[in-house]
Amino acid sequence: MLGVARRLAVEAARVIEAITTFGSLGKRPLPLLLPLSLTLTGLVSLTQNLYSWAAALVFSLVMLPYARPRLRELAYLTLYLAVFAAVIELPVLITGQSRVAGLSQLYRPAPPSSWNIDGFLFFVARITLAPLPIVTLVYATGWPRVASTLYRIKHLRRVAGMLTLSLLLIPRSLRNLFSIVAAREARTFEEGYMREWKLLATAVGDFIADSTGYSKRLEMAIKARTFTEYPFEVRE
Amino acid sequence: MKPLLELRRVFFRYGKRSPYILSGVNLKIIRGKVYCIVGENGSGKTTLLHIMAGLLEPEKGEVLLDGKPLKEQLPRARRLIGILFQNPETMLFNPTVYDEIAYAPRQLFDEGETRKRVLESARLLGIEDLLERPTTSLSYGEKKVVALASIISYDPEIILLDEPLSNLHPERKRRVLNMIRSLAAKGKAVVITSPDLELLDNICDVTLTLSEGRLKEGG
Ligand SMILES: Nc1ncnc2c1ncn2[C@@H]1O[C@H](COP(=O)(O)OP(=O)(O)O)[C@@H](O)[C@H]1O
Ligand SMILES: [Mg+2]
Repeated sequence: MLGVARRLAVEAARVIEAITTFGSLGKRPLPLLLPLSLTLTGLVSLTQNLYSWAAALVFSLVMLPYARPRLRELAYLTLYLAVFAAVIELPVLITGQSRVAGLSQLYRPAPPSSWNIDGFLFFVARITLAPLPIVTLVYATGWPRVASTLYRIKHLRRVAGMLTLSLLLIPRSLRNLFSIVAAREARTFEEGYMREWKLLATAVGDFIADSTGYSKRLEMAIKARTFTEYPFEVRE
Repeated sequence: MKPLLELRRVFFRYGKRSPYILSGVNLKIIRGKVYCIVGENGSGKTTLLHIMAGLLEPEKGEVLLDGKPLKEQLPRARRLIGILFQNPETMLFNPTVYDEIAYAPRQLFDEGETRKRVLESARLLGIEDLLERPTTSLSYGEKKVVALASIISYDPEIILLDEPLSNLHPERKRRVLNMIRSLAAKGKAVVITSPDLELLDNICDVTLTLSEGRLKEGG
């Protein structure tokens, strides 16, 4: 069980690490592509217009070749989203009625029948497709480029900066949690079913202490080499 | 000669109830010299370097860069100061070694010049073969040298190195020592900390000892 969790965590770390560098499309800002991808994402999640769905799909397919070095990670992310959507909407598939009332109102236009396969597929497709324009754009251009575009809009700078740091911290934390667990595992000889979860639970204290110290130092390290007001800005 | 960086009666502590880590530190840094700050573990060497880099603010006293308060010149003045953290692990925040070394020059130069500088820094430190590696996959010694390269790639005037030689194997240590000598020869001011003077291999022009919050001349 812990083995599976560890594999998932490492994979999730890779999915995020893949976008922390510039992509193959240079490093200038994206005054058109970024708003376009955000608009498409918005349209798919808020409307049921098939044209907007098609537009989102076309946009994502056009971005795909540019995301080539990170295709594996992009595929994983899409798969996660689809699985996540499927799990949430499982009750709809089986009972034909949503137990997640809010979500079903938002996402499922068809009235519930006994085996609501249409509604289920519709929901899964929508959750998976909606973020795809912005996600493929980020995988094609790299987060630093998207961030530097967001920095241009004063009110978005802090958000972009925080997202940037999260993208650095989350993968490192995921890897680190399991290295702390592994270090404890090596010193534990207890056997049995609960052993792994006990290990994980007791590692959490160390993990929090380590993460706080690390993020303080990291913030300093970024400051030390940043000559502009916000990190990840690029020269005009 | 006018000091490049100057500390005047600097006091510092972590929090109002904590003891002073630095209590009245004076220091003048001029170009072309290697300063060695020796002190036991916990004596405040790291804290002192962070103050010199403008990453921590003193509670009392002044930090002057080129005669003017450092904090009024931030963040732009940071391009004049490079700092190598004691733990290189916490210094790396880019996905690949290339990006790490390119992070600072990218803010100053176009991609062509940035590339030139990354390759030159990597060559000087003998890490050309690491450039495409993710920083997470490096060994401790490799991380330390990559962190050093990420500083020299933007050519700062003041270089602060927090225990740069600890835990390095002899070949890397030799390269780092050569690097320090050539930086001083080019007119940079270099400040090195160490728990032990002997580690520093006679590289110091000025040796200072940090103990009980004060800095004294001599080893
Ligand atoms: N972020 C911090 N918060 C509180 N105390 C700290 C912090 N960093 C260092 N200290 C304390 O300040 C003292 C000096 O630490 P430091 O500057 O790291 O010394 P050195 O580098 O010489 O080993 C130590 O007692 C240490 O425990
Ligand atoms: Mg220290």
